[in-house]
Amino acid sequence: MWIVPAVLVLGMLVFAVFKGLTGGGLIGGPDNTIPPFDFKVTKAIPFLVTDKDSTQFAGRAQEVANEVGKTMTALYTEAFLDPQNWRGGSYDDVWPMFDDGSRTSAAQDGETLTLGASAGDTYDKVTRPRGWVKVKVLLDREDQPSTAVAIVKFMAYGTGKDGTYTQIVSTGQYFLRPGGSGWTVYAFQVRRGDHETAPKPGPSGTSTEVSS
Amino acid sequence: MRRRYALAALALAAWIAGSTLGLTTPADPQRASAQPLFELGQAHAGYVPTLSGSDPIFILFIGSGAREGEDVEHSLADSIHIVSINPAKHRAAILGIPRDTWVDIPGHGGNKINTAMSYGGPPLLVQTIESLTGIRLDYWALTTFWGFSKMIYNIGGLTVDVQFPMHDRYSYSDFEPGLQKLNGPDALAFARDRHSLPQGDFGRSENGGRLIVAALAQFRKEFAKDPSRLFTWIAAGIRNTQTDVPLDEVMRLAFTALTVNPKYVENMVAPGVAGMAGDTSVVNLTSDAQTIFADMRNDGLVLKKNIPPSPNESLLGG
Repeated sequence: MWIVPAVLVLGMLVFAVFKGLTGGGLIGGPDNTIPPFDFKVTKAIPFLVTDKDSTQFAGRAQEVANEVGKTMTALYTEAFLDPQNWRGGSYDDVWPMFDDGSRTSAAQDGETLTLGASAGDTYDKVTRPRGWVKVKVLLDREDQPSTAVAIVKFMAYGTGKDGTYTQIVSTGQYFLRPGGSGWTVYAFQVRRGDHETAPKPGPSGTSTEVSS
Repeated sequence: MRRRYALAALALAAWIAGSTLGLTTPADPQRASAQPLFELGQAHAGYVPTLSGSDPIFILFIGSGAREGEDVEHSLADSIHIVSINPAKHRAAILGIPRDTWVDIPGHGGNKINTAMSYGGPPLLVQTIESLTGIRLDYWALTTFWGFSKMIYNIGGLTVDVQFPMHDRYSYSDFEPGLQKLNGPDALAFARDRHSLPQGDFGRSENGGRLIVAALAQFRKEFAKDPSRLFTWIAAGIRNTQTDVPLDEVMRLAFTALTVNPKYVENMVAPGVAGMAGDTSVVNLTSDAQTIFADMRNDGLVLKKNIPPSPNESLLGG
């Protein structure tokens, strides 16, 4: 009789190990863990409308870039990484990051600006997000940050329900303005360059990871 | 019995493992390469906040004749252009007003239009032009010779299609026809040259408008490639001009300009004839000029039938 509990324990052990490796839920069920992600701010450039020396404002531009970087991190987390959003195809937490003028257009462009309404039917999970942002900051006549443009590159991997792998790629530029609750997007030009890719063979020859 | 439990347990374990493994194991292990298999397609999303509605926007562009050290806002206006944008139709018009045009300057009587600014700065010039044309000007922007040159330098040069030879020792223009990238001093020479042109200041005024159209074309091209270039243009523009346009509005105007195809920008000069006022040679605008003003007032645009011939027509071979 000892073999029965032993095999059950072994089975649970195997399950736990693979659950941990894959991030999957109970017997393939949904796991709503958001993969950790932060945009890396690679550059902050001040643009002046006065004849002052722009190097004096490098620090201010860096501060703005860090704030804008956080906004972009929040936007991409809601738009691409939070499983509760993409599994349900609902991105209600994304649109408030756009101002009144751009919100409707952004929602209409939802298929490009988010993982998409049917992402829950396509993907089992999204992993390995990476992102870089360069920020240009336009200072007004009083040297106050007036507007910023975030030039972003974002990548992540989507594991399809059909066993395929997709590299999710979003590149573009977001124009932001400071407001009461932080920086808000008021214009954007964004492209998606998703492509199907193949998993990268693991060290043992098993294919458990994907590569670009 | 023991054996059946064992098999069932093993099967359960295998199924659980299989369920989870299935999430990461490729359907076809032979596809385990680093090459993209196929592109899913490039989707594009874009939005820029433009001005909308059928009301045209009128902006007065002024080139001050001040030399360095002089009062820029209270010098003679060397070049005067009304730029109108019709946001609904995505079209625009540029109307040059000859600087020697004889007008009534509010509070100062009859004089050449270029003196209005020396009397009362850009606001008086605006008032004078509004009174002359009946057009309500929304904004003005004023630059100088050196400001204009620096502006062109700041954007990295301006590509202009020079349509005929221009060689003039006064303005230092020295151009053969063809598409060419002008640096600051060259662009300034192109804007100032009147001696190479048969109708002098009329032709020069038209060339000023052509620089504005060239700038629009280049701005659109650069924005399409890299939207953040907008900041370079805005910074270059504001740094080298005096203007009453708030920065936010400059941004919106710039975004609106993106919607205007340069092909649909009419560039013209108010027609006039040479005359005398006392012993001063002046330009008297013709009734055709009044027709253009009336037409432009409506929607910021000018009907084809009302567009006067180019003052540089003879050089264009037309």
